[in-house]
Amino acid sequence: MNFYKQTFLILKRDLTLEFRQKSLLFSMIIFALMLQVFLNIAFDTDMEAMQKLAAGILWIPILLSAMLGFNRIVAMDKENSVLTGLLVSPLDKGALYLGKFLGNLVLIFIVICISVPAFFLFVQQPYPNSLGLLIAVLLLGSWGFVAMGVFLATLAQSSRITELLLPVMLFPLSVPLFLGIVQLTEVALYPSIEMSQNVWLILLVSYDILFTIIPLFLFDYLLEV
Amino acid sequence: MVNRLLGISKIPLTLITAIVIIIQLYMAFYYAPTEKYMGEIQRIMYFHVPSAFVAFVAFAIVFIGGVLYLYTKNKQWDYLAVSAAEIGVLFTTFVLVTGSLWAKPVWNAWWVWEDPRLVTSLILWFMYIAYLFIRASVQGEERHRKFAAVFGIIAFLDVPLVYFSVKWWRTIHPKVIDEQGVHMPVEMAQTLFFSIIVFQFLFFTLLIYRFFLERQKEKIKEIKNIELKG
Repeated sequence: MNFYKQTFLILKRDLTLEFRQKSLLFSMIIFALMLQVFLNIAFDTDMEAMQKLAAGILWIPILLSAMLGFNRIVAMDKENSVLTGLLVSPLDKGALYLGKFLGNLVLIFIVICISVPAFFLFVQQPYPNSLGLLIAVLLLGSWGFVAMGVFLATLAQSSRITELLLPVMLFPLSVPLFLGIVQLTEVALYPSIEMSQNVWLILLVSYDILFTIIPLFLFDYLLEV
Repeated sequence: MVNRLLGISKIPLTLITAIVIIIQLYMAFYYAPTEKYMGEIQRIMYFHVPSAFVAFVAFAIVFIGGVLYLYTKNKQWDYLAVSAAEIGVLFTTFVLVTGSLWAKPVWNAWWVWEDPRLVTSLILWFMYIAYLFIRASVQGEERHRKFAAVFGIIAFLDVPLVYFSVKWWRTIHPKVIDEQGVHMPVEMAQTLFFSIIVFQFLFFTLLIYRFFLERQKEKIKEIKNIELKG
């Protein structure tokens, strides 16, 4: 079996499990929507001031609900010693990472598909300035966050403080990503904000590439022992 | 062999460090002239900047130690990495505190988001606190070494990205505070340069002591294990 076939099998297995249970996906979606409501209540403000807040209100629910998923999707393999089975099989560790990463990415995309329209509904912002850019940022942003998140969640699994350790590791490491997506989202949403986008797009793309490739090589170390 | 050498050089190095620190203090407080605009407070530079250099060297050692540990599986590299990480966190704290003290009278704020070095230092501090968290909370001897090494590598590679993103974040937006173009008199430059070297001495002295401490801790653990089994 080649690398891509293995990746695909892991992806298929994870998604099959998730779509049969549905509990994780639903709670992620509900959580994201609920956060939107809370943030809108907290920042109750007019259209003009909203320009400064919108990017945060759009992204925070997505990122936090993604955090919920990371721990769950990694802990899944602990039940019934699935991980031991996977390690005994001739499976490439990189493929295991990539499969889990893609599975999580699919879940986040589904959350985005519901959370982002809800954002436009709640904020009463009729139409983004540039839909293309917004979609690009959503894709690139969640890509980088999930790549890092799945990797670090695997690391955090064997800690005594799993749920706490993950954000403590993940947030500082995703600062560049977060700055990039917030800046670009502002531009994508409102026409009045002028900024050079290229530099941020390059940053996002290089972050995504860097932190997808490095885990492929280092994932081995998190699994053996 | 290397350990023997380090063991022998421990005491002389400490003495040299003590002496150069006294000279450094003299230079920082008497030799260097008082800055015209900022006044005496500017002398904090001779502690702030060298600490930042120490922090950076320390985290580079965490990275190198991590890579070599994963590659060779030799625990000594891990001892080195953990020692450097702890000292690095200490000096980063020092950078942040002295930075705030300096910023308050000069920039009229304890904290500014405009300076990428300041923000990067803070993020760096969070990252290496996380590194120490991993060491403290991950179960299994070999595992926490390995995981910490992996995280140390990733964190170090992330640092340049953090720095540039914070820089772009603030320079692309309108910017109020500009770099203070301090054209230093020779005495100031000498003092700063000397301080940077002195702090490196201090760092390596601490590193060696911390390294030996870590090794002794491990030895005691081993002895205890043997006794329990025997």
